[in-house]
Amino acid sequence: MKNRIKLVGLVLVCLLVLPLLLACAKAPSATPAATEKVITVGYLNDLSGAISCCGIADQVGLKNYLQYIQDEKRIPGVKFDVVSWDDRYDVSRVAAGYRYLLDKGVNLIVTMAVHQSETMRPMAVADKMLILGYNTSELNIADPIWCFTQQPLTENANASFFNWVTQNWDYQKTGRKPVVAEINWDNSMGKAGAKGAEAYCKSLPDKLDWKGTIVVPPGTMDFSQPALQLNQWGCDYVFSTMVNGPTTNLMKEKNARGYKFQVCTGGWGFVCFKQSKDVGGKDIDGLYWISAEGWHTDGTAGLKLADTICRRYNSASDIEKLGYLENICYNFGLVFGMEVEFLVKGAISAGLDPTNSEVLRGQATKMKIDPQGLYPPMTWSNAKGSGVDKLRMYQIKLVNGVPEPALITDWFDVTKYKK
Amino acid sequence: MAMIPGDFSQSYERDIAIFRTKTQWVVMVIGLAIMLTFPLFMSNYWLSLFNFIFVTVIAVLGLHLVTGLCGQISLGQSALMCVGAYTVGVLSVKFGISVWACLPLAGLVTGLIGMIFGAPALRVKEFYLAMSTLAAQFIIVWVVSHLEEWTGGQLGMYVPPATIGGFSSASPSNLFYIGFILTIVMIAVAKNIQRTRVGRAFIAIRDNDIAAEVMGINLFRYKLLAFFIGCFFAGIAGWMWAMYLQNINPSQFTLKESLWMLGMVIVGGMGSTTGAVMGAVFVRGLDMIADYASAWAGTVFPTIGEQAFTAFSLIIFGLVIVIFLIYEPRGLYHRWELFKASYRLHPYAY
Amino acid sequence: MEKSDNVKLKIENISLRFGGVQALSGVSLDLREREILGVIGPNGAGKTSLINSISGFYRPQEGDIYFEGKKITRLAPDKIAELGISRTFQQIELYTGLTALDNLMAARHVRMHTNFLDGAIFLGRAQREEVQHRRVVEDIIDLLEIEGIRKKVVGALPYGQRKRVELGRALALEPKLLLLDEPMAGMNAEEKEDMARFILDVYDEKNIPIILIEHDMGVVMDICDRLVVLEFGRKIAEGTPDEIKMNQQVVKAYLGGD
Ligand SMILES: Nc1ncnc2c1ncn2[C@@H]1O[C@H](COP(=O)(O)OP(=O)(O)O)[C@@H](O)[C@H]1O
Ligand SMILES: [Mg+2]
Repeated sequence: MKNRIKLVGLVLVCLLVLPLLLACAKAPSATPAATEKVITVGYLNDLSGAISCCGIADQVGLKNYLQYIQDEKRIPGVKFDVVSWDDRYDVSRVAAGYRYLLDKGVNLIVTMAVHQSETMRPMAVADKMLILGYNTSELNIADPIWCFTQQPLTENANASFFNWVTQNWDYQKTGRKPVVAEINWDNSMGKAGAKGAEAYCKSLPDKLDWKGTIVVPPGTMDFSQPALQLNQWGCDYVFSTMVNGPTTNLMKEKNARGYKFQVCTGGWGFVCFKQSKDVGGKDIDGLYWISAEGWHTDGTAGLKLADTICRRYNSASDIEKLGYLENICYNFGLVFGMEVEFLVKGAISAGLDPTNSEVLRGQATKMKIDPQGLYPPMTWSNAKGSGVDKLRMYQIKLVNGVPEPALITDWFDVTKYKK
Repeated sequence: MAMIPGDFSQSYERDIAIFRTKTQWVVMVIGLAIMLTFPLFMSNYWLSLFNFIFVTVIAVLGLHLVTGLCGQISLGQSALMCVGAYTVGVLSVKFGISVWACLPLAGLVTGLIGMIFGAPALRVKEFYLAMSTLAAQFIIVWVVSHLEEWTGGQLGMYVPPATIGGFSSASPSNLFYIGFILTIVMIAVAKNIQRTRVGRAFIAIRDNDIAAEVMGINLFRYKLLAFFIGCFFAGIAGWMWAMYLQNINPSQFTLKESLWMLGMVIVGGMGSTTGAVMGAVFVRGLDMIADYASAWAGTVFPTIGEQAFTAFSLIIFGLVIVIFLIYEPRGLYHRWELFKASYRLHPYAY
Repeated sequence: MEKSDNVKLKIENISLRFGGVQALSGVSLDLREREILGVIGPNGAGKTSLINSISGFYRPQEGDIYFEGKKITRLAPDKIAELGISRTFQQIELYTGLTALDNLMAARHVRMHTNFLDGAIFLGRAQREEVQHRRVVEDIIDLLEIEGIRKKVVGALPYGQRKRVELGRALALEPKLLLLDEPMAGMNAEEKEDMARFILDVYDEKNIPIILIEHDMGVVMDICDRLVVLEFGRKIAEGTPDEIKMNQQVVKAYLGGD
């Protein structure tokens, strides 16, 4: 008995002392060959939490593309290294993760969601550390900009959907305006979405019959009441500023009750087609989906490249099991890789040090890359830092049971309706 | 009353001291001095982990006073940290009050708000009180996210760092010193309250509220006081949190965090200050080890992939805590006491 | 007040009902400054209810209770404790998680004056107060001979010792009136003898009146100055032990039954 007590005690003490010992040990530094420059890319995202289906595929895409740059010698004399931090979709872990990555000597950080880049922003500004994210917020792109993103402000996606509605609604035949509304979880993404929808719809009172937004607590999964409300309003179109889980449930609810309204959501929310399909089954058929211009244009070189890279660096079973090819986040990862390639190439050709984050940021403000149809050609608006400002709309169709986004509208310049 | 001169009173003073021998004092002072040197050689990552631990320890100490000592279950500690964090945010950004001056204000405002949510404790106990403090968790976060004029709503707000001259809390090593001092002070305060009149009244209420009342303790006043003090701690933790992240957002203060804090109090051993500190350090430490273990496993078994281990480590992490609750429900502190005793008595038991 | 000086506690005609149960009906009694008053009666007679009414834990529907001439009938239990009425419980009600010493210190609550700020700082006022009150408590520990279990958590102590700690806690409040609800219940003869001795010591040393509920007639007759007999919530007799022994009604109702 006494020995057991001692043993457990010793184990506990060791557990407590271990971090201290680890702390004292200096992190082993990689020693590159003299001629080679190593760019260390930090990757901070959710790898085991609520949006890990996205984070993991994204990380694999990034790693694959950086490996591809190396193998194809697209930037001679440069090697890439990726250091990851799993924030488990927990904001409190982002700050520690940021410090962790900096300690590992990263030259820039790739991340995904707004809250992640927002949390890192004050530290990034102080440390002059470049951050590449997927989507952004107004707070994030205020000067000085250190967080550059692929997607524009969430507000804009909603506006572009309602713009599509006004362009495609048959006012003559129906003899009335389309009835529209928005629904969101009560969080920062939802707030931004509601703001964009409301501003746009209210600016066109003779074109849209705006009913308002339905705000539900974050985490809500039961949409029986909200769907009933939307139906009672007589909605024709509803924008859902929520991630895929709740949106799928809203679709299920509406289909089960035979409600007529159509649902659209944003690319930043509904990215894990495979997961959505697993959860929603055929209910996601017909869902509208907004993303940046150029996504999944049929049969482009970009999609072929994505397919090639994915098959080259991943085993068939992994592709099958983790569904990289069906997961758009994998492609986001590739685009992050392309962005890194653009920044580093630009720095080297300008004769600057590509391991200097400030130099990379300078390049980011000039960013103009063509991801060969995998993604739209992107330009960074220096003033806004909001990334692409052109969006396209797709409708999800199940092709042989596999969800495929089909392009249904040309690009829409979201900056137009703003003064 | 018989007065006993000199040495007798000396011995009572020593008897009630936290550290009763010189050796204990020396060990503690050396330990603290070593900790103060951490910023000299530790990386920013480790310092920021310590800063996070400081935040947690202060908040958990507050919960320890409310739940561990006074026996009033609170499921809203994280939301009360939110009050503290936003007190600094709003007062410093909107009213231009010095961030330093916001430190006590954050404690006071949070303490007062905590008292409002603790008031049902007069009428309800245990499960029902848990439900009403759960309401605090939701109401506070809801209100903060809807006072957009002041708080920026769901979009959150940036909080300026605390500065004096060239010293700024934005650097992890400076924040480490601030957090270190705050934590030591708050531990001492918690311990002192526990071992004096008010703390004994709290424990009396926890152990037997009927007897406590008949022995002259005003239940309502002391339950409210427990909430005030516990939430004061949450407010201080909220200030530290705002300094740690510099960016506050209502979604940072989740029910999950509140539940974890309760878990830390339990793992550490209900009712012991040292236990509460141990619980917080242990759970956060385990979290850290999980990160390292999965990164290491990822390099050793690259084919399986780092992600698999990260997910796995969460399971192990949960398992450790469950095992703990089954085999040592009295907490880490009790285990530590047994451990000390077994060495003290070795090899002869007396 | 014109009430006789040597009456410490005056109970006037109190009645207490729980739904249909009449726990006390029209009970009156006077307690003098220097006496141990025994309250006897069969189970369910209302003895505990009487004590609970005095300590404010139960609210009689009718009648009044005066302590040192002050009406205490509507006061909250903690206020009554502050006035100096202290008690033990039939079923032990200790603070199980605290040590014996801290149980006694906790009862010093009403005699201490530091607030939580003094406590938080500790050095100075709180420390001085702790030491000062520790002395008082140590005297009680000596008196009750519980030095050996001072630092033991009371939840783990044997029954007899817990009873003694509870008496200690009641004393630590520095009462002006002590209410003891069956302090010897469940004890063996030797323990009972010790407890009886402690009660007499307390009575002598602290100079306070005591109300004692006890079933053991031998003990009651020995140590009480006066007895009150309850039956079905009614006072059926009052007098010195010798008078009670002679009282036919009591013998029939109670003593005879035993
Ligand atoms: N809290 C209560 N609720 C309902 N009935 C009670 C309560 N307390 C006492 N009684 C009833 O009052 C009567 C007197 O009980 P009590 O005072 O405990 O008697 P004693 O102490 O003489 O054995 C009993 O019939 C008992 O059931
Ligand atoms: Mg009784």
